[in-house]
Amino acid sequence: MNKFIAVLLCAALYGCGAPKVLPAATGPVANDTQIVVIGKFELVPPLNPQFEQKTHWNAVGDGQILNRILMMTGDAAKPVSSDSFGWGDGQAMIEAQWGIPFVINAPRQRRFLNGGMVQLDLISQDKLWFPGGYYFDVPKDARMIYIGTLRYTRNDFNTITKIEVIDERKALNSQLDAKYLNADIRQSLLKKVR
Amino acid sequence: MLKRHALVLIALLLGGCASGDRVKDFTDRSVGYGWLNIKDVDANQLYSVTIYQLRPQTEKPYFSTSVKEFKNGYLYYSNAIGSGAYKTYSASGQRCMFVFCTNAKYTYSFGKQGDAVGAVTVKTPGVYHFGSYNLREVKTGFFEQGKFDVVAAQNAPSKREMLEEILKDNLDNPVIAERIKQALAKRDE
Repeated sequence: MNKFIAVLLCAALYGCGAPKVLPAATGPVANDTQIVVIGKFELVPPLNPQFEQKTHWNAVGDGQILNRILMMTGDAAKPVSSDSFGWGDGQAMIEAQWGIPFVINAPRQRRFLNGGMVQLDLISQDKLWFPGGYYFDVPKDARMIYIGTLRYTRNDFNTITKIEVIDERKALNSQLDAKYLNADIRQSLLKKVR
Repeated sequence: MLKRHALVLIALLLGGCASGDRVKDFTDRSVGYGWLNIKDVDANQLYSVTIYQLRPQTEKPYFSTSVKEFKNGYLYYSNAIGSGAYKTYSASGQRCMFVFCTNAKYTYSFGKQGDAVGAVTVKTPGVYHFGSYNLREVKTGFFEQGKFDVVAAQNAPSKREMLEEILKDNLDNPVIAERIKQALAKRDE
């Protein structure tokens, strides 16, 4: 009985605290609670998985970390960092490949990007952290929005020296799936939290 | 006969494990050194400090260092770093009482991000100081991973003292010895 309760507790804790990724969009959304968000994360100079990340033959699925960033989002500005990261911070993450547009479903409300993380090695738990402090709004009646490219510039020691929001809307069409080409994508670029 | 074969096999295996890329030409190599005080963390003996090469990127970015107890802390150094960006990556130790040590291994990771702690850029061959730091355990919750703070050490040995100590180990390496002597002479100017 004690073992059963322990398993149940673990399952409950997992359900409450396990990291969750915002789902990839399958097409324009047709309801009042969700919005399709299109954006991109860039790193200059780019991450070089061959040298900077390490996978292990005995760590199942750790190839998923290669060239990916996990951006913590929320409905409030709550900056995350290596010192402050807790279980609750990863409840609505954008999982994206560096330099590749992401198209995800998100709740239809102002959303804050609170900080990003790149896993370099699952065994040693080496990570890189990226500041947040940006948000996007959802225009009324919009079904799809474009929030821009969030570009991080780093120095030789992976210290982030510059963050920019770049409008690459014109170049977006060549990178998007065909089903979105004629969709009504509204512009709602990321803004800095003051 | 069997014993002899076994001994040869063991020697070959150990040789394979122990050898990294041994540096023979130190013309373009620099000395990187630092000092750590671990009185306020769980480990009380340090046996390994690793330096990580961030630039230029390489498939072999980790440098082991010589570590020795020195002036109430631990002096660590490598005499084989080339030009590039380097960071003190980790320090590992044990908790010991006299000659008896626990099985627990304590590793203090400085990570691969940030130029405020333990970071140097080597532009020309010379002698570079990674810094002198106190490590302090930070209390965390029961289910939380352990954390530690790094603070600039106020009572660290001087650079002169550390370099004189490193010089003692490198007298048979004329290139490195000369580098250290020049650095010491500059400190006198």
